[in-house]
Amino acid sequence: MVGPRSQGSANQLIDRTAYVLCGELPLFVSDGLDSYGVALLERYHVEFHYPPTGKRGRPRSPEKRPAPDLRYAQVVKKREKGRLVSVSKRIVYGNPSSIASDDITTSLVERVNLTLRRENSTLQRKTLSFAKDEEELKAHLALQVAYYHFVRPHLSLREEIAGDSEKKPGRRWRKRTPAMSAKITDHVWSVREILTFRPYITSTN
Amino acid sequence: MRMGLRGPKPQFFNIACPNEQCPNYNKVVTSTIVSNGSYPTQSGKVHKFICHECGRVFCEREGTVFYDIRSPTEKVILALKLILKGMSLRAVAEVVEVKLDTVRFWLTKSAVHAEQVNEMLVKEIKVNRVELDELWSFVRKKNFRGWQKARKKGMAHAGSGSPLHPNTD
Repeated sequence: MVGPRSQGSANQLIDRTAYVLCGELPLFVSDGLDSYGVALLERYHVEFHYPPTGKRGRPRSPEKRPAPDLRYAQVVKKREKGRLVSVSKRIVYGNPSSIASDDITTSLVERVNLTLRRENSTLQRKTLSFAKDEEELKAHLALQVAYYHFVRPHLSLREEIAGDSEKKPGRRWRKRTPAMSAKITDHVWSVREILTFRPYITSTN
Repeated sequence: MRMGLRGPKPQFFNIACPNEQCPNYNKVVTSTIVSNGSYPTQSGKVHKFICHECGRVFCEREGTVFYDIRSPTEKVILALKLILKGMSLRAVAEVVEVKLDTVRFWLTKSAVHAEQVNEMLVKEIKVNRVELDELWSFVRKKNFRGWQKARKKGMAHAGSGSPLHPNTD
């Protein structure tokens, strides 16, 4: 998602995430930016209707309340003069007993951000290779995301080769990509495979 | 059944008719699609096929990034790999010896395709936790063409001197 740091962008991001997810609602964790909380409430809410009071006048309009299975927590960092002073964890929606304190962290997404910065010239800081056009930046990111999902093996997802049949001398680990981990594919793709994959073909044989 | 000298007729399990009006559009139906010659390119032969349902002739590159690209496929892939490893577009253009606009065209075309692949395959994922975060970056703020236009306009009006850059405070 490319856009300004606004409520509209947060809404789009949550909609995009909802399109990808299935099954039970996961725990959402973010930094202290409140736009995510508003966007999550907009997406996952139940309408609460106030009972009629029996008095004259317009009845109160229904209120949006978080869905019972929505869980959202924030990692709030406090800085003074550019230096980090304290980190606190805050549960915004959901029952505190259903959210483990260790789960409230954004370290994984921060690591992804670093990978994106390292391998994308338009995101590198203090260089002249910054994006000259928004469409160019979007294209760069779209290709990079597909590369990250299907081609780039992730070190922490690697698997130890168990059977002797697969084992080759000097090789202990099997490389895995995020797509393999999500059971979308069974092998590490090449760049050529992404470029020649026909997305909408269905087999009738 | 008697086979020819070249063995059984090849069947194509990953080729589908790209004609939107065809009833077999984007469906792999091995009985209706047959080979229909080939043509040479810088990266070797490219096969052509014919759909017997609608009569459309198409090549094996249709529906991929390499369709209608004249440069060798290896060159395109090398350029994209360099981009994916953090090289700037201008640097890639210099290394691969093509114009900057060509690299931009390859990148845009492959990005559209990659987005389709992502949208098609990455969905219905079960996870326990979703982490949300932002990544700061920027797009060039200076509008050089607008600046040039403004300067011309300013010169026409004032007769001399160049106005300040529109984005300059």
